[in-house]
Amino acid sequence: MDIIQHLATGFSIALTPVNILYCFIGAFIGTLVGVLPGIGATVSIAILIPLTVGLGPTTAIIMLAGIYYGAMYGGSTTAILINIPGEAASVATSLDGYQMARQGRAGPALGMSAISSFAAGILSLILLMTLAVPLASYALRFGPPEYFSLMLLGLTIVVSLVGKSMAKGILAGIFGMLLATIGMEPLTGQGRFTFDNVDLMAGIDFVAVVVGLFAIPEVLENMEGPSMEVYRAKIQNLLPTRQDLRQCSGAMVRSAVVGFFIGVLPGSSGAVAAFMAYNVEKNLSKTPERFGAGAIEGVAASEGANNAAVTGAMVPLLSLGIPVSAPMAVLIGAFMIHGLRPGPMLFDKNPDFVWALIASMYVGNVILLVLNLPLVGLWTQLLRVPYPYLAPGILVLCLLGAYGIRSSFFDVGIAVAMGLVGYAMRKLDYPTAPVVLALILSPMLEDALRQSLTLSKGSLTIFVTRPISLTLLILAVVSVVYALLSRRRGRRVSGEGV
Amino acid sequence: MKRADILSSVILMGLFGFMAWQASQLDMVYRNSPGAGFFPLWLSLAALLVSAGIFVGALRQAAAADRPVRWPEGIGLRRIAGTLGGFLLYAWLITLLGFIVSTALYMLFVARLLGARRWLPSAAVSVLTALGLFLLFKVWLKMGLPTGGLPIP
Repeated sequence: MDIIQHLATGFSIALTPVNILYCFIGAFIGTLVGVLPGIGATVSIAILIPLTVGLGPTTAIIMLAGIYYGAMYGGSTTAILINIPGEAASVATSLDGYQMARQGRAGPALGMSAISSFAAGILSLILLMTLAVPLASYALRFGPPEYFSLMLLGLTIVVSLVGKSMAKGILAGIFGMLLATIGMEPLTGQGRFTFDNVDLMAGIDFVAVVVGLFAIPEVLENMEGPSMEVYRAKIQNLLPTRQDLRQCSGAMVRSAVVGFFIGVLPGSSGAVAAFMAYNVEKNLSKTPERFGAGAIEGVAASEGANNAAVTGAMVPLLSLGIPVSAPMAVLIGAFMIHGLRPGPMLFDKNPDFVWALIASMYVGNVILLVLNLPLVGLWTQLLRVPYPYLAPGILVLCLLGAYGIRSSFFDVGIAVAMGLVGYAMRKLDYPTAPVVLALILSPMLEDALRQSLTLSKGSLTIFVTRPISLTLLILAVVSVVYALLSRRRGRRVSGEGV
Repeated sequence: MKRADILSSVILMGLFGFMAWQASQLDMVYRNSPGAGFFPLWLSLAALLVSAGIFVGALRQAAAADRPVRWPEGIGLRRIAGTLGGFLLYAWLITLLGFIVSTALYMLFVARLLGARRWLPSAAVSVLTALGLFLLFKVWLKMGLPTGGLPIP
């Protein structure tokens, strides 16, 4: 009953004209960046944070969250039409979606991807409401030691984001933590790596780091290769047939559940969720040989799961304050800029904000369905924008994003420097996501460590004598061991595959 | 990759060694809790250790398993250098010429660099994009854009 009441309050806020407008803008921009290659959800959220400073926190976060799940919708368009997924989460969609397009069924593939994303989005929101509230109430008992252990658990996510080389992934994480230490230390006022430079004393702006590490290298890499393929064919019969819908109804429900729970797990991504749901459908199908050759259930499963994964990732974000992916880390940064501390207190101190955000996700899913079904023609037109115009446009947006928060050209310089670092990291197989995750979590970890040790008068036993803290530490160890084991298993499987 | 890993890990060892030395100059303890230097020192040392691990791993890597890094060359390198150099120049030009003129110039420069053939459409797209971004960010969203010395914002 309580949930229904809260949700009603949430809807009363989310359905105000200004919030509907910004939810629409977020969903629109999200779809746009999902369609266009070279600028993903992480960068778009980062670039637009400065623009939300003048808005109220609820409106701002409603818009930024809309970008994230909008990108999941939009990523499918390029995956289906030209076999280039706009987002990594849409790679599984391209397996059957592109085959359907080649068979002249691009319309039903695009239509099904929008419908399945919508259905899974709505179902996963119900799961979000039932899980996040009890988790947040439990986490209200947390003190500084529990927070320290929780942040440590959050940092173990880095292990599951490391990419090809474990050592390089860990080094990327430590690099992010070191970046976070730059600036004036708040407690003692000592400068850390500041070299008496006034700009460095204010610390490194995370938006500049995100823009530099994600957007600039992507643009630079695209400049090396041949120009993008342009889609010319006309799209017809967008709505799937009744038989298509009947065929996919099970896949939509299953992909919502699979995607949601994969999304909750640290380090998992929309891509993992999509492949997992795709495999479930393939294994359950009586005709698995159709998968990869244009099976519409494959499109429904993959698109439903990647959208549900975004909602799943909201559970640890809202109830514990832990980001499980790079876009979520940037979203946490946006929370902080707007004076909101993500975590269990959020449900207690800002219930209107949390429930308005959840309600806005229902609204956003409806908006996205409307945007993606009738307007698919508009999105495909965007694929015809020549890269020589797209690339400088993205870079101008990078400049605006880096400059915007503190109106500082120093931050633009940091973005360019990080762009070069990010480009080199890509070339040398260093993952960039751990840098952002560590950059966000590290100051909270240091803060919690300090407060805990002040409480215990310097004794480290405080972390293992409190049951919740001890449990979280054990979970951190389990998380690392699990990530290492699944990595080893994955390597063995790929080795066998070769 | 082997050569690139060796070279990059040596550079990183130097960087993290320097950071560890810098951090060691700071207070390690502050009222029973870690001081300003505690986190940076231990993190720098950990990074130094991992970089050393990558260095040793690269040295021990068999030459047969090596996959060379594909650095940009020729036209790709020229495009990247031009775009990034132009970007820095653009950031500086904004303070002189304002947002609209410098953005239009940068857009035109990169579009031509990346192969846009015809002048007129390139110039039109550049000017319209600059104006559109100005209206969107400055007029509608009230973002504080840098201003230059020209009468045009």
